[in-house]
Amino acid sequence: MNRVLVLLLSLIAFASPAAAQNINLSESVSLNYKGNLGIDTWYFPRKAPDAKMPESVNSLCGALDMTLVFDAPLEIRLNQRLLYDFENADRNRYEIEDLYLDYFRDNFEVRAGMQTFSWKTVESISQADFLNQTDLESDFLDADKFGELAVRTRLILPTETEQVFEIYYLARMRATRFPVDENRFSFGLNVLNDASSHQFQSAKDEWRPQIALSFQRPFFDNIDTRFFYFNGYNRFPGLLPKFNAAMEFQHQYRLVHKTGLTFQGELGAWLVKGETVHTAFQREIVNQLGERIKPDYLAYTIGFEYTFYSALIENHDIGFIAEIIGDSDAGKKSGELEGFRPFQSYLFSGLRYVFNNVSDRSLLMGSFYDYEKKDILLRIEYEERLREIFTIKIAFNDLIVESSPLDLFSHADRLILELAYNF
Amino acid sequence: MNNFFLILIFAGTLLANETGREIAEKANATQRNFIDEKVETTMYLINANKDTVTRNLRNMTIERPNSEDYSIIQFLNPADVRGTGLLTYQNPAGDDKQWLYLPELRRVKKISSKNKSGAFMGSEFAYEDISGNTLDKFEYELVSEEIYDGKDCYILQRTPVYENSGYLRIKTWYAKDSYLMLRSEYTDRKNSLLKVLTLKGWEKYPSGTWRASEMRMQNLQSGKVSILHFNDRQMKTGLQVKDFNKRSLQRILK
Repeated sequence: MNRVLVLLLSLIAFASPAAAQNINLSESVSLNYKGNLGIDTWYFPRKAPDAKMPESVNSLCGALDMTLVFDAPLEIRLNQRLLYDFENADRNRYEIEDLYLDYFRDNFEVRAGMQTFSWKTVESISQADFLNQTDLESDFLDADKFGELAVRTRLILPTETEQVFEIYYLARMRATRFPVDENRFSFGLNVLNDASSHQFQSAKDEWRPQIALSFQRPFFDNIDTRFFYFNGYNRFPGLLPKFNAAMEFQHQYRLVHKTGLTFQGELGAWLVKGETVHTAFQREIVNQLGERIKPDYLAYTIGFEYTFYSALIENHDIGFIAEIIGDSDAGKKSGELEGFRPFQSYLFSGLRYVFNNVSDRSLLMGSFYDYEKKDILLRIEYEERLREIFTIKIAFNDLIVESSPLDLFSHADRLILELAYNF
Repeated sequence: MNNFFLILIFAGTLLANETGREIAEKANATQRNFIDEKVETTMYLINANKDTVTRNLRNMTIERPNSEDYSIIQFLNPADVRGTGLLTYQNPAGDDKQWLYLPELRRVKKISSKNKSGAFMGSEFAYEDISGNTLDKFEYELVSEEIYDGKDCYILQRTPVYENSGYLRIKTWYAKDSYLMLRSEYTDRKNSLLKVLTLKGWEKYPSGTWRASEMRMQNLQSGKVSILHFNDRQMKTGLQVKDFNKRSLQRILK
């Protein structure tokens, strides 16, 4: 709690109107920072399955991102965030997303410390953005990333076409936390979130070294492509019953090989993007039917984006996005799978209406349609800047589901209101 | 009557001496040879009620052969978009290549450069107004000459030959003695006069490159005005091609 107070006081100090976003500490060192402080409110119009579950969730949120910039190829960054739930203390967080030292030369870079990465290229469900663990307890359907303790080394090949080779060493497996008890996204299982109860497939537990390799280069002059390989723990754990009186479940972190590629590029007026990942479990596991399996599967999200500029009103743009999301296990019953994998046969379609005005007003509408199970997920989102320093986001999520694993959350349609002060 | 013919002959001689393309080439030459450039830009966005908001940008550019310049623009405010960066590889023969860095998502996103006519940061400047001037993207015609702001000027009609331009034509005033652009009038696709650009405070840098310190774009249809002020401009700072890539886009520009 003390850390939360320190961050809160820091946020207030940095957020004062007198503060600048760049402070020259000396001739060769400057501090750059940005942050926000705001209120998030979720309102759930449907009746909760459990009387303990709230009708609404109200949280104080903040972030402070600071970078020391030197007159040398060196940066030090501290990026931290705060979440304070007014009713549910389990959701309270003080998280360091980034605390690293970055040293960069022409053909070589190394970054060491807590880090948050992104390999995402698509707009809907990312298959490749798995290096960071996510915090399922804070928001199961839109989880924040946890920082990972890592060293990333980059080699930039001295070729005319940009080619970048990366090696990631991830030192410690960060466990997730599941929503339990009165959390609105609790799915009724008594899942143990305390670290001592977690099971890891390696004898080195969470300290088993994890390695990722990545190679990026453009193809056909205009398609940015990344090939990657990962050897480590699957971020989403299996849930193992402890067969005790309390009917508890523990996390099991399973070793996997992941191999795949991402791409994004421009083909004429079309933006094409995609991610595909083959996951092979290194050891046998037990599925929900009690069978011993050693699964491997291919998951993909591939699609395009097309924008009509000034289509209906001068300067207003309308972008259309379509993506297909699936995996090679589509059609299997959820009990046959190794874990929670709801997006196996979905079509995502989105519409982005951008006003291109001073306040960056935008309207997003997206739908996920399961073409096997006929389930639909809808999201509408409106965002705007107010008086230059505030941002407001209003969103509504609706799940029209009956038979998919997401049925667990059909009561969790929600209206979201986010108001933030930015500095 | 004699004077009328004299004027006609004099004007005809001038028009014959320099074609629109040649004037455009000379005007373009005043903007080149900067090798590389860093500049802080303040943008004032003034609506029809005279309410003003301010935007600050940091821009760096490297000059490359055949005008295939590379540039990075980093947004310094408003606070919620601070750190957002736009990397552009200019392509005189076709569409530029562009990437946008979104710091909140830590994501470098390929974006379409087809959006020529869209508003840049909600301003009256369209993307095609602020992207580098490449000669082959227009056809030029010398339409007349006149005194503008006390200076003898050529008036060129520039017609975009690239796709997705928001303009039917652009009428531009160039000072005859320096070939510097002083004013442009933009006619939209509906053949209505849309915007007027005026450039002020031209300065010559040691490399011989000229730069305006202020660009003022007035939208005649909406009554809005956007003004770009360029501060602390530096050229030949030692930037290299390797400073313009998706990795450098993610770092804070110095």
